[in-house]
Amino acid sequence: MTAISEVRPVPGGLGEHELLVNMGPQHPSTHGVLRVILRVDGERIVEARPDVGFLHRCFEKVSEGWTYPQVVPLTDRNDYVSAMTNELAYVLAVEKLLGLEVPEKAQHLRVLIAELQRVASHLVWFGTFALDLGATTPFLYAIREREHILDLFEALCGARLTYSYMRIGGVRNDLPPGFDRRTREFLKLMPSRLREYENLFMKNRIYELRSRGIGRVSAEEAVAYGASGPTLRGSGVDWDLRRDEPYAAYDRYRLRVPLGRNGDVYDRAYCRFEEMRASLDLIEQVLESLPEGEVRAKVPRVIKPPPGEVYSRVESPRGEVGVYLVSDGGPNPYRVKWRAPSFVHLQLLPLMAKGHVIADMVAIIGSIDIILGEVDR
Amino acid sequence: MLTDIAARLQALFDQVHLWCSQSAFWSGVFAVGWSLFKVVLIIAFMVVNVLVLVWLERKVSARIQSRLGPMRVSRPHGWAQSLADMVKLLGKEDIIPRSADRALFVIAPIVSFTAALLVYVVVPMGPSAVVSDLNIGMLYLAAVTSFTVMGVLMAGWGSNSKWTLLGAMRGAASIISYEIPMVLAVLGVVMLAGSLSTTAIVQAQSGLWNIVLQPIGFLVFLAALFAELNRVPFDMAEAESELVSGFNTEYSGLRFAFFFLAEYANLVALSAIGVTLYFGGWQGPVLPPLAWFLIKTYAFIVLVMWIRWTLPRVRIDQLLSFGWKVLLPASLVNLAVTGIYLLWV
Amino acid sequence: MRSLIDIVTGFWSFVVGLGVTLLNALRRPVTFQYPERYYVPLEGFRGYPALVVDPDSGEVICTGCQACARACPLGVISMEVAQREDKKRYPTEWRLDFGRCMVCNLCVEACPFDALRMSPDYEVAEYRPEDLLYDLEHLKLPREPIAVSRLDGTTVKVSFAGGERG
Repeated sequence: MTAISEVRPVPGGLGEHELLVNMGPQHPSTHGVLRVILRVDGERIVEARPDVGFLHRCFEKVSEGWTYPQVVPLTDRNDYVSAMTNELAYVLAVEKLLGLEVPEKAQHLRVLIAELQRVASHLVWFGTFALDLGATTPFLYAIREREHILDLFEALCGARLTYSYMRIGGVRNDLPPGFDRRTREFLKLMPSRLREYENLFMKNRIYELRSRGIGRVSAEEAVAYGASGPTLRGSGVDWDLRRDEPYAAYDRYRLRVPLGRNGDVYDRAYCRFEEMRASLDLIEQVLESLPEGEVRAKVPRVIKPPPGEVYSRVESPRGEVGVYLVSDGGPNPYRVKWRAPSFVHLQLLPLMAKGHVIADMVAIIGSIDIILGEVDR
Repeated sequence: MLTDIAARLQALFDQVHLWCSQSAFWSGVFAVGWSLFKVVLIIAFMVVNVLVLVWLERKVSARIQSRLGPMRVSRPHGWAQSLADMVKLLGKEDIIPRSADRALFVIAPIVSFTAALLVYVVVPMGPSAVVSDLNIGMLYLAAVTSFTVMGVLMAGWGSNSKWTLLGAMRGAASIISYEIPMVLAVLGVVMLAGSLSTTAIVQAQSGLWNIVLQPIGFLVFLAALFAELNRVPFDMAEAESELVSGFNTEYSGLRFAFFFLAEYANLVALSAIGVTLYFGGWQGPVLPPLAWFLIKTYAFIVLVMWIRWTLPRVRIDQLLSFGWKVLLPASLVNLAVTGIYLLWV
Repeated sequence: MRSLIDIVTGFWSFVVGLGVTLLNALRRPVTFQYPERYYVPLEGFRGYPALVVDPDSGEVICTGCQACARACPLGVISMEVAQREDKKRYPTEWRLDFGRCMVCNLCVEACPFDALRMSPDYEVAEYRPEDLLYDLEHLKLPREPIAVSRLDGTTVKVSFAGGERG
């Protein structure tokens, strides 16, 4: 077993009883192609080092060669589980750069779609998280309920995963007929299904044993490492961009922000789970007060923003998605920088994993809900 | 018609038996031949059951998960799926990792399989349908079931891979913590029956099933059974989402099929034991004993599958503390209560 | 005593979980056998960009203005254009490298004549990558209406021929 440590020296060397284990990039629970180099003593983790970059597709560089509208479908490919919020982050940045006024209805639609996307994304998280902890069945249930949202999105924009729906200056089209009714049906169905998930998994004693006190991050550490979203709120920091720095039409709605206390796997999972309920509530509010009007502002065929730079951020299901755009006055962005929350959260992994065992490692990775498409971009 | 054939076979058997017992040599040949026949019978029983079970497991899990499950291979409901899978596994390339310990790697699946096979010896499927009615049946069982972990350990070490090693070590570490409570729980039943023989245990339940008298013992047995069978919530050695595939990560093709076979064969065997110990074995009205035995065993198996597809996995140290701090005291309480019951009631 | 209560409540949580799985086992499965039962896509589904055909002449209404080719982020659209006697331009060849297309709808939105629309056909897998190079003939939308479903659960036939925009 020492052969591998010779090939790839570990800083400080391996201890007498230590073993170097490569978790991933081919591993069932690393959510794609994450590689974590684990130094373990028995099963206890002495050190965990995440190694990323297996899914790098040059998003930022490719964007520089494309025009502003053309980048929109590309942003879908960053965080493919929550494509709508990515698009939203990007179009908000361009609109900020242009100083563009977006029609009122489009703003409300953006909130509606982003919240539906959040529920869909959290459902995927819930399923995979349960799968990581060895419960297979919740995954299938979560995917079953997510199908309702995907159907809505398919009718809305014709795609089920990479939507290409947000446009600079609004959204592509208005809601299709029947969307309102189907969404309300979904809102009626979902609370009972969430209770089922709770009974099946979130209140299960084995789950509690597996998650309480695991992967603890204090509020100070979470802030210091730049955590955001449920990963930050799980540690008890009351910060949500939708409420504290509202974009689109979020300032018109009441938002409940669930908070954790201990910053362990249980609290992070609790925040995400409760966020689904909060989002359902928000969706209902939007449906009640959807204004009439245009959904897309008039924009020139070739978009040439004035030279300058902006930073725009939104609250994605995973945390703060930030877009830093530099324009040199041409039709293509001069520089696009994507701040991916999953990438930032991966930095917390060594801190969280230390002292726990390999089985907990899987729970921790599940609880910060990383999407490798976003980490590597 | 059937009884007619059975009577003729019985007559033929008696004749051969009589003829063979005339000389020492031929009676020896007869004994060996008869044992071999029994072995072949067990293996056939086992393989058929496993093929049905793999399909059943996939169907039960599919139903629970709002899916259809296998549907393509033959109607109705793709019942021939396991046959197709078996053929596929046989056609796979046989891979032995270069750094593996060849001997251990090759023997491990056979050990696992044999351990599963040995349990069948004492499973009573009817009043006289037991391969060997050992008077130390339960003792034999306790010895044989712990043998399975040898296969796991050999596979894990022999593969010379880190994941398999971790899986094997988990299997080896957890065995004592669930074997002892299991045996202690079974002791309660043995005390009630006053015998270690499985047939005697079944006969002792002609009035009241042991599940009524031994509810705590049954729960302890059930929990230990999951650990023994390597199933969620206690599938420590395999732990798909943690250890890739645990001890059998490096196996493929026929050798993997043997592990697979052993796992499900163990499921049948231990479920049959569970039925024997707590649900009155082959006893029941109207239907023949074998039918009752199969009905009860399959009901038990469905219960085991249902639990497996509901619960998440515990952690290895939690299994150990659960075994020592919950299962062991519970089984001791059960033993004490049974003793008091036998003394005064 | 505390730990005893703990064991009982823990056990009860398993029983509740088993109840949930039992409840779901009694529900009807939501999946179905796909090729045996065709999945009707929802109206507006983006299968691949295709050319709208004039119902009278049977020719595409594309004028070869290249707006779609310019809008395409990946440059997968290319065409050759000729001029008729009445000065009208028409494409003699129209190619879509569907293997690289990301079905983003930008070409459809760029078209000033509504000559491009998304075909709802999703059965587009091929055994060889070169079969994903679509030519003019392949890209022509059928003149007969195509079945699509709507959110209210009904299935309707929608015409993809030129003229009105559905």
